[in-house]
Parts: sequence; C-alpha cells; structure tokens
Amino acid sequence: MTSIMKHKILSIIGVGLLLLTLGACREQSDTLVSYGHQDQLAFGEAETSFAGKFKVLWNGLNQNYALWDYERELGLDWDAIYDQYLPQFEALDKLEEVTDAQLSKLLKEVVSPLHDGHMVVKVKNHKTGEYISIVPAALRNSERPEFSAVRSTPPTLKYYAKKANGEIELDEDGTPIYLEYSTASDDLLEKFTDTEKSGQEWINDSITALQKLTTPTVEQVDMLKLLTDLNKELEKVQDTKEGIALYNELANRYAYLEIPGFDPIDENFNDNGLKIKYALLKGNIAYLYFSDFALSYYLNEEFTKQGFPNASEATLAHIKKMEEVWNSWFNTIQELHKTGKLGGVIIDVRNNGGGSMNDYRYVLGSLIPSGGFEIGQARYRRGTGRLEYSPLMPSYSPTMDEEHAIITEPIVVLANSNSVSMAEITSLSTKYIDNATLIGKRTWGGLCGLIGNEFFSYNYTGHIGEEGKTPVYVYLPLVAQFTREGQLLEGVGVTPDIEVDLDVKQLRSTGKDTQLDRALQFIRNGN
Amino acid sequence: MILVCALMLSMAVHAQWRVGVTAGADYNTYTMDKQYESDWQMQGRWGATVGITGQYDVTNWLGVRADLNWTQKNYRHYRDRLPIEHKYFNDYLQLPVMASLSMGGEKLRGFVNLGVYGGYWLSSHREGYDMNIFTGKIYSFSEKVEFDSDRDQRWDCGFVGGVGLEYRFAKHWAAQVEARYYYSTTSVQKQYTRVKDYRYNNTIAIQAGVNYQF
Repeated sequence: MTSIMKHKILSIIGVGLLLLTLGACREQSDTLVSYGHQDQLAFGEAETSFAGKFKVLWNGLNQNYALWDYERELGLDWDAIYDQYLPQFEALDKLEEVTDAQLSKLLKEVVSPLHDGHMVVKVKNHKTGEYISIVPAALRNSERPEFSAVRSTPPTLKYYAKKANGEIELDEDGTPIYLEYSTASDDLLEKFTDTEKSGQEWINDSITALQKLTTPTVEQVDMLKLLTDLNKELEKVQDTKEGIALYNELANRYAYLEIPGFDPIDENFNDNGLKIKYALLKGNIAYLYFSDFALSYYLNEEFTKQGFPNASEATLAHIKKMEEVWNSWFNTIQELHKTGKLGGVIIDVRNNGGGSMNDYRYVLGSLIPSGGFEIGQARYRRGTGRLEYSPLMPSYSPTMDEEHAIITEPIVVLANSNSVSMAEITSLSTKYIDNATLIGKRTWGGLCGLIGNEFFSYNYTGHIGEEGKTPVYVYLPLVAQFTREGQLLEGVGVTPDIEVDLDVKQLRSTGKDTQLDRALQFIRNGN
Repeated sequence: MILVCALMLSMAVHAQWRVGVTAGADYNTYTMDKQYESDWQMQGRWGATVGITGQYDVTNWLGVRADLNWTQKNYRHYRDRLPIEHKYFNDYLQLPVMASLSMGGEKLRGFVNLGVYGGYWLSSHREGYDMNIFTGKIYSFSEKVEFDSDRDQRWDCGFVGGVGLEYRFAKHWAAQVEARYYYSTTSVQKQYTRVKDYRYNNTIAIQAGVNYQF
C-alpha cells in the first residue's frame, strides 16, 4: 500500500469518526407534559405544593395561551413572571398555614397582566381545601369608573313602556307595544314568590286562614303543619343552582298538596335562562334587549334539544313564550321595513354576558344578508411553542338563512363595559355595516372565543386541567379573534362611535336611560 | 487533524483550480420534539438546490471545495385528528466548505466531500389547509411566513458530507453526480423562552453538475 493510499484511508476514517460525533452537536429539548386532563404526571406536584401549582399554571399557559405575541407587544415578559414568582410560591410551601387571601393575592399578581377577556383561573389551596378563582378581565374592568354601578344596573324599559311618557308606539287597542319574558331562574323563582293568589302567596294565605279556624278538622291541622313546615324550608331557597334544586325537591315532595304555581323549575334554566324585552318605541324604532346570547335554545329546535333535554310541557311553554317575543321583534321590523315605516332598530347588548355564536343569526344576522358575516380573522395555536400559530383565517358569524328583508334603516347597538364576548362581536360588527352605529361605552374586552368541552384539547387551548378535579384549572381562549384590520382588541374592547355615559342615578330614580335616549336621538335626527 | 496532515504532505505536488455549476433535488426532514402532541405528524418534503462550485485541487486526490448554493429545506406537518396540513417552503443560501477526497482512474473517479457549511434563511412560505374550529370551515391558504426575530434563527450552520462520481468527458470538462447530506447543528428556532425547544433541518441533496478545470 502506497503512503498516499494510507493517507486517503486514514483521512476517510478520521472524518467518519468526526461524523459519528455530530449527534452530540444537537441539543435536547425540555420535556413537556400535557395539562389537558386530570393526570398525575402533570398535576401530582401541584396537589400538595404551591410551587407545583405555579409551575402548572405557568407552563400550562405557556403551552396553551393563544395571545403570546400580543402580550409581547404589550410588554409582558412571561419568563420574568416565572423568575419573580416561583420563589414566592416556594416560600408559601415553607409556611404552616397559607390563607386563601395570601394565595389569591399572589395569583392575581401572576395572571392579571394577561389580557384575555374570558380567562378564569381556579387554583386549590390544599391547606384550606378551597378553590381560589381569579378572572383577570374582571380585575381589569373593575378599575373602570363606571363598571360596578353599571354592572348592578341592567337596562330597564319601565319608563319607556309607560303610555303616559309618550316614548312607545301603541297598538290598535291603544296598548303599548311592549313584550318581555324571562326564564332566568331568579325570575322563575320570583313568579313563585310574587304572583298573586299563587305559589308563596297562596301558601301564606292558606296558613293565615287555617290559623284563624277555631275548630279545625284533623285534616286542616295536618294541612297547617305541612304548609308551615314547607314555608320554613322555602326560606332556605335562594337564587343559586343549589337553591333551584332545593325548590324542585320541595315542589316534588309537596306536589300532592296541589299548590297553584308551585311547579318544578327546569334546572337547565340555570345555565340557559334568558331575559328578553321587545318594545316598539316612538318613531317605529324596534328595540330588543336580551340578557345573554342564548336565543338559539329557544329559536332553534336542535339547540332546544341540547339545552333542554326531556323538556316538560311547562318548559316548552316557557320556550314558546320566549320565541313569541323574539318573533314579534323580528316580524315587526320586517313588516315595517316592507311598508317603509321602520324608523330604525336598537339592539341592546348592555350587561350582556355573551354566549352562543349561533345567536348572531337571530340578532344582527337577521337584519343583514344571508351567507355569513365576516367580522375579522381567527387564529389558533398550532403547537406548544409560544409563537406557533395557524394562518389568519376569515372569521364568519352566521346570518339568517331564511329569506328576509335586508334592513337599510339605522341600526344602533347599545353596549357598555359589561358587554362581553358575543356582545362585543355584535358591537364590532357595527364597524363594518354601513347603517349600523355603536353607542354607549367601550366594551369589556373579551372577543376571543372559547369552547365549553374540557376534552377538546386538540388545539392546545381551551382548558388546563378539569374544573373541580385538578388543583389548577384554567378556562382560556381557543382562538385569537382579530378585527378585519388585523387588530386584537383583547383587554381593550370595542370603542363606540358615540360615547355616552349612563346616568345610573337617573336610571334608578326615573327610569330615564341616557344611553338609550342618545340612541333614539341618533335614529330620529340622524346625528 | 488527519486531514490537515494529509493536506500539508501533498500540497506541493499538485495544485489546480476548477469551477462549476450544480443543480438537483433535495429531501429535507425536520427534527423536533413533538412532546405530547401525538397526532402531529412530521414528514419530509422535496425541494430544489442549485449552486456554483469552486475547487482547489491540492493533489490529484485531495481538494478544497466551496459551493454557494440556493437550497430549499421544505417539510410538511399534518394532524391525524383534524383536517390540518401545513407545507413549509424554506429557502436558504448556503456556503459549504469541504475537503474533497477522490480516487479512481483518469476518466472516472469517485469522490467524498466532507466539511462544514454556513447558511442564511432567505425566506419562508407555507401553504395547505387549516380548520376554523368555530365555524367548522376548512381554510386553504398559501402565504409568506413573516420572520419573527425572537423566534426564528435565520443563520444556519452544520456539517456536510457527500459521495459522488466524476466523469471527465473532455480535457477541461467533467461532470459530477453527488449525494450530499447537510446536518444542521443550529436550531431553526431560537430559545426565546425559558423552555428549551430545539428544531433542526436535515437535508439530503441529489445533485449533478459540470465543472471546468483550468
């Protein structure tokens, strides 16, 4: 073998050995776990450690939150949050006792810089057994000067519905054209307590009458005792899920007494209950208020089956009445438009907490062309990396499929700082509809969509953990919702075209609504 | 070290320049830790490579070769459980510098190239389809990917090796075919969070070219 050949062979062997070492030139990624489900590997440490809870919260959001590029633009350094707060949570682990207030304070500091408007964070304090619940957007909005007063003052039409005030159109009989209905559980309970000669009043009257008897029969004595016992138990009924369950238990237990108006309340109304108001205001202005985007449960058969499975006759009657109110609003608009008499439309989404996107077709979507309405662009997380996203996809809200007239008269959407989610999508839509105007105050700031299904984790977003089961649970947005102009309004909200404060004092004392008045003025005068 | 010694021994014997052009196809795969994302599937994709070459032959069996090439490093990922597919087209400008070892006869010689390369990520484009979960609609897209200076590492470097055959068909002209492998040691993604996440390109190129020997 010549020396050149030896050199060649040695060279090739040398470089071959060099190549074998190449593997060492690549670094290994950190190992991540999924926080989608109840899983010991992911949540084990968090069961008994505050630092463990913080790590789940931090990593879970790191891997799932849909708005990291937006947060970066706004100056949030999520890594700095880790460095700053991990030692503080570790310090909690060294304490014998940790109060809910202590944990709550730290959690608020960690999550309050996040701008998503829907996020709910629930962390279990293993020292007390209580879950601490933080809603960053509520913390942010509570700092707005009008927020707390507005929140406790839902829109009312009491003043406007009175014939004497001259603000409402009258039907052929001279009756104000005003309809309202409610399936909200508090109102259904109120029907039991406040309806004359029915429900609670019937029980009280019967007790009084029985007590007055000087020589009651055995049956009457028994009846008095039963009604007195029932009354005591009814005192415990409150407007909560548990309260409705207790009320129903009593209604079933005492059904044999045949007390008028003491009927079980469908517990699905706890989640799917709705308040709706329709009025035809002076100048043929069709006004609609609804408390939540839950109309689909009343107007769409498929949704009704989902929202009220095995609905009783009483439940179906409630649904029908709700449908009648919406039909009146919609049909009036259509008829007046066709005859050229429609003055305008007011859609009041103030204090509306949002809900189903499908509802869009029954509100703004019933006034504009079929085929869906492009409100902007949607973008999903597409990986565990903070900046891994899908393309921006056109985002459409559903519009009414059935044939309907397109409304060309002025449309006003009334919104306030407690108009959330779908109420904000509706508010945003006004920016892209020529004859629509947004009046009121800047909205809540939560336009990104969520999904209720905890097991829908294919998009790395939606839920961290399982509510009530895992020591850390976060309900977070599934999608980043951009405007048509490519803006994110999360944590900011939709700004009205005409900003008007609500005079809460005046509304409470006289029923006059400064924001509604401005809407009426705008429609009537064109400015 | 062996290479350097070999070079020094034979430098005085033979010295010659040649220049050429190459073109071919490449197949790139993307190495990343999918973590728990079990339904994400990664798949390599074909791309193109074209370049110019320069080689300084130190001896008749050893030369130093440098290329300047435009090479695509494409890949595709898709989901098993959702109608999502993203195809990425990434354009790189690369400069491999290699020792070229050859053996064989006058007309037909085999060669091995070994060395390092540096590169720069010129542009990125993606196309495919994705699903808007809320509307249930599938969205087809084809768009430029904007680089994010926090996330994207546009400088690339790594090791390169290739084997091939050269056929001398005229006094100054030769044709080459080569199978080449680019092994990136630079993560495509910067470590922009405290969670380390490294991603690498691996590219096999099948290329042919001609060169002129001075």
